[in-house]
Amino acid sequence: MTGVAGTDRTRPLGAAPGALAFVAAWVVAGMIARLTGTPVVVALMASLAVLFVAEFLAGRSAARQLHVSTITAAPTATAGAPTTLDVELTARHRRQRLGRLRLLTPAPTSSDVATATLTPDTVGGGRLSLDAVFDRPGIVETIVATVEYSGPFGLLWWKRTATVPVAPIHVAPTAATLTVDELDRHHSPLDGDASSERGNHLGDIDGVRVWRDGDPVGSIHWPSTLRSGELIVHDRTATTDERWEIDLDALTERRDDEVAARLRHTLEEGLRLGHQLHVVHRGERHTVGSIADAAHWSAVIADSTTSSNESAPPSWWRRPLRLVHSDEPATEVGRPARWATAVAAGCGLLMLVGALSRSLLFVAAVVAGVALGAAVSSRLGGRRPPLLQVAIVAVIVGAFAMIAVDASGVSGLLEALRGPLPNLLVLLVVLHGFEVVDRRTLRVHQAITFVIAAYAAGLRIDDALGWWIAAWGGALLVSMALGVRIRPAATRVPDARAASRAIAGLTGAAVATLALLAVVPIPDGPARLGLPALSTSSAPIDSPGALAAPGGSTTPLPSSGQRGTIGEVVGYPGFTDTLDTTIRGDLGDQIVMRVRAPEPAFWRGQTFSEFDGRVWTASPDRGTRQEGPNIEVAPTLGDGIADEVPTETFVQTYFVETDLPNVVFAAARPSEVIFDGDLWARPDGALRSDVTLAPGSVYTVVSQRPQVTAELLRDQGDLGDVFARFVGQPGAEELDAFLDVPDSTTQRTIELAAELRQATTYDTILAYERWLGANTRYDLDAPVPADGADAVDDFLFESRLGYCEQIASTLAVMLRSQGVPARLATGYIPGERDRVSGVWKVRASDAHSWVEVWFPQTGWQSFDPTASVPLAGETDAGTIGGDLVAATASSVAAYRVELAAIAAVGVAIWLAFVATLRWRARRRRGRWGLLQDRFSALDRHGADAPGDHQRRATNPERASQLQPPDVAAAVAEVLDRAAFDPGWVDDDELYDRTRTGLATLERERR
Amino acid sequence: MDTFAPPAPPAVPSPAHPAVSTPTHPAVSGAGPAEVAEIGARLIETMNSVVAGKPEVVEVAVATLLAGGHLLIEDIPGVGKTLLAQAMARAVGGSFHRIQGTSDLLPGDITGSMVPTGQLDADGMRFRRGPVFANIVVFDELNRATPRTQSALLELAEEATVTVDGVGHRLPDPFMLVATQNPIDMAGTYGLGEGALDRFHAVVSPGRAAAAAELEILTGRRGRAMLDAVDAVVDLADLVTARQAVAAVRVSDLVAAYVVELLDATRRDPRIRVGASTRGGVAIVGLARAFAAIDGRSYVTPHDVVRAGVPALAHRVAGTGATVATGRELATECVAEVAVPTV
Repeated sequence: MTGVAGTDRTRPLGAAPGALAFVAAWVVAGMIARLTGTPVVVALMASLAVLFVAEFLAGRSAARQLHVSTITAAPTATAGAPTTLDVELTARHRRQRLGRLRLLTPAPTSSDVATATLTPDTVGGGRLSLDAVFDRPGIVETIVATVEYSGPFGLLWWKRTATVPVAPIHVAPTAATLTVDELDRHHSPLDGDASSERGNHLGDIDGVRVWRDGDPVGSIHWPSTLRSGELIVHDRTATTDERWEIDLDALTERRDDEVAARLRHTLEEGLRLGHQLHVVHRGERHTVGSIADAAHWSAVIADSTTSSNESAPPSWWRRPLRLVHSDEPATEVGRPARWATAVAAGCGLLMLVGALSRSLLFVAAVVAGVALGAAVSSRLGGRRPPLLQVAIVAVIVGAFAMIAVDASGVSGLLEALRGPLPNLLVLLVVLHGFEVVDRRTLRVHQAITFVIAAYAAGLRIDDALGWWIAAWGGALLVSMALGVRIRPAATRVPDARAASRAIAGLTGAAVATLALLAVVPIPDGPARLGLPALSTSSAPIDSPGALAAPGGSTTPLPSSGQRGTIGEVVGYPGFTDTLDTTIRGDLGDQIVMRVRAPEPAFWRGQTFSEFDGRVWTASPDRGTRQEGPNIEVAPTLGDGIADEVPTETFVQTYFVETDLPNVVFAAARPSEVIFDGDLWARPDGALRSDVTLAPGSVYTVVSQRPQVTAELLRDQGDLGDVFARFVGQPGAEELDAFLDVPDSTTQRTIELAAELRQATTYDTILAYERWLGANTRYDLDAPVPADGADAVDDFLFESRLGYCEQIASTLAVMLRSQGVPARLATGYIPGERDRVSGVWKVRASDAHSWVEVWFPQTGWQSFDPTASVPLAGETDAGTIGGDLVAATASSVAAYRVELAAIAAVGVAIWLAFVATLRWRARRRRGRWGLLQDRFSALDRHGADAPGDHQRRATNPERASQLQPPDVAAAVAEVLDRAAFDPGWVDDDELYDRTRTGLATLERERR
Repeated sequence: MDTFAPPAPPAVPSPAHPAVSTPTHPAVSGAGPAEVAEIGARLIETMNSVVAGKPEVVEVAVATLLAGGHLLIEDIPGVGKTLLAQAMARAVGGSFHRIQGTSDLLPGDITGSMVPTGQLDADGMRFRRGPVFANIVVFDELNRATPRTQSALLELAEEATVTVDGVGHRLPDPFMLVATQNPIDMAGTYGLGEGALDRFHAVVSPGRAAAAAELEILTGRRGRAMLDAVDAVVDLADLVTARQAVAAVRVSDLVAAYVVELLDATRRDPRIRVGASTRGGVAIVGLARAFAAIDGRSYVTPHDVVRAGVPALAHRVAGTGATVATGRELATECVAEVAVPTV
């Protein structure tokens, strides 16, 4: 018998207790991702989503792979009293985790009959004997068997419901104390032949027999009783027989709930009195000869009276929605799982604490707290000795007081996010660690760990984030996998395929995660709500609005005719009021700032329009002072764009890492700046702050970028012609500043510019860049032009060596000579992208200058012959998946040796572990013992092997099931000899032959 | 792999093996498992030619014979209980007596008694041997004899000695008691107590023959008609030697522990009033030894124990008043419950 086709349904049952915490954690992580725009948080969310999907699918397959094939029971049972059900299971796999089997009576009166926890043993063994209780009397012909299983992490539960037909079980009601009224009594004065069967105490004594239920005490035959040690009674011959007859059809008519119970009582009473009993059912007369018959007929009556008042089952939408599957079997957590969770929590917390630059004492306290929590919760379970309680309360009070004191001085969101809030979070996580005593709390703890990791990932911008996330993720996976392991481990059944299945599953999940991430774009940047700003500078600037060196002094940097160092790490001459193209700063390799932005751009600091042939000078106009923290930046001359040009919002957050001047870097064109202080918005488009930028300062810029494409630029034609119409017109004086060519510009420069001029300015610029690329060379040690010589002329025709200032100045002058408005911009190129945290690492050596050209339709457009930054409209933010792959690839490339060493050590440890296990097994079992294990395992996974019987089979019995029979018999005999023949002499050749024979059997089996 | 067959076990067992239980009797030179296997095969073949369609029952009977035990055959009338006993007696070729159990049978009737010699020497009495003085004694309907007679019989079977008037008379060697009893039709019978049942090594219930076997019996190709054609296939000396060889079959500690666990399983089962006795364990080991020897092995495997378990335990776990069939079920469950030892 198998489940009736069509009644076999597999449906989700709900999430395991505590699993919904992961959903909450996912939502919180989503908020963090939205607030900070961190790609790695999105990656974490995607991984968790894939894990849940995998869990969902795996749980379904686990539930579907277990069938309840037959259920057998005694033909009669009493309602409310336990009876035994034998359940036979067939499973395609042994699961190393717990499931549950529930047996119910079918709808509409469905009630639980029996439940059992499914362990690997029972699932593999195939046969279960359950104590069952039927609530209601009646005839049970089908039983609904529900198999409940979860996925590999025990988070989501499925149930498979199948209706299994059984040989009818007559469930009788408990006997009442009243007899039925419909009782026909017939007396016959016969010399009763029924009397020797059932003692009626009326007649003569006719021997002795064993006592039966209902025999009167007076009939005990004491001598025989004492001799045999059991109750013996006089057997009597009845002088009269009494015959009872009950019409069941009339009883059915009564529709009385109690009638079945009364029938049972009546029949049993009749049996006790030794009467002949008959019932008439559907016109046929049946003899009632035993207690079982009485139960049978009362069950028949109960069935016919109860089935009449069936109620329809509630439709599916009226049933209560169960999101959580609350009766998960065996909720205790093993010590390994607890400690793996502690490691995950520790990694998360250290990751968070590391982002906040807390003291070493704080770190030590966190580590100790996590370890103590794990030790206490795994050792004591839910118990709390008073001393420990006092200690915990003291720690809580103290920590809260410290956090409260801390929080009192906080102003601003970012400070709170970095100060008291994470402290509070850390404290709560450590305290929750003491409460992790069962699966539910373990899952909640894991989910909290997830939030902590996301929080830390949102805050951290350093290089180590990827490694921390990897360590934390590994620990979390291990803890989740161990969390569903059954304790004690002794019930585990060795399954060679479990490891390979786990590896395949993990690989599949990783591939699925990457596939998902391959379509998830890098987040745009932080949300408006959370735009952070923080100033850590204490250096006031003596002259408001003026340009200040990192120290805060506004004294201009020395300008000399000499090439060489100006002695500062960030001493780039471009961040001064005057840029002498003959000076080159000594730029270090130090990271000056990190910029979180989805796409690369020039981080512009200053613009220069006035050029005298050697020195660029910034406009002396300091602009207007704007009050922070939310500063609207008005467009300046040349920033206007045509309505039809699409723009995008481009958000950047700058994390300052070294002392910088008070130049506020921003990608063109900044429209809004969130800055902890006041800014000067200058008419030349540059921004200066009231204070210098010190390490730890954070500010955010929202830029509106026209979506410029080559097409759009080319369509604007030759700008020389466009602007020629305005030159000299009243009100266009400001334009002249961008068109002025220095007096020292030589004729051959202008001729070269005119010669290379193309039909459109865009093509002209490209032609200039090409020419420069072909005829000049980038050289940081370019010679200083002679005193009074024009720097551009010198670069173009004399030395033909130069660096960005010379190249950019040359391009600007050549364009101006053709009537195209151009200016010089200084700042930083995008730098190197840290693909895990999604920030651009900007180094001092990334300082740069480039040319901005005024396109009337699209505003100022950056051009640079040396550094290549794509046009805004042609960049693509890319996807997190692509970034992750690139990051992994570059990490692997960077740490090739270390990773290889770690992998080698890991493989070596693994091999040593496996070898030790084998060695120990071999030492324990001996080589023949291992052969025996293989031989015993041959029928374990067999399709038609009812496990329990086979496990106790002898070797010859096993051999009789195997093919080819002669080999099987020979192997069995050798194994028996090895085990039981005292005269056995071990023999290598025989061992080898037996092993080959066993291999043959294994091949045949497959 | 076609040529793969295990080599014959070494002729001389290694004395250094740790798991040896010292055999009670050293093997007689010239008689090893191979000889026993041959004797066993001959006996089985001969008996099978008479008793139709009961090869397992015949095997148990032969194993009991070789193990030096006594056999109880319990079944409904007309299934060849007595025929089985007679066939065995014929095949062995020793002396054979048959006693019919009745309620007026007295112990003296079976042991023999002192009768006057008619001469006035000594005390003028001599011992006249009863029917029990034979190599194979078939006692039909044992439960019809009075408990007094039953216990006398079983005691002498156990001791292999008849004591009359303080003088002991040894029974012939080999000696085997084969008793039959009828589980139904119990009126006027004296059921055997647990102590009495315990003295039988094994119990068999032949059961009804299959249709094909019944056909052969009715046509006279098998059954009682063939009994006269049976000649002794084993002489007594060989049988004695074979019994000694069987006793020399070795039982490793693992197997002995397995038997102990089997006994324990019968004692733990709540449905069994009194579990199997230690004598039951001895009987299992004896039968297992005989099975091993019949298979030509010099050591006992768990498979032998499994084969011996049910016949040796069925009457020991049944309890008073229950039939052997019930006991057989219980014994089968107990055997299935205990894990089989391996290497």
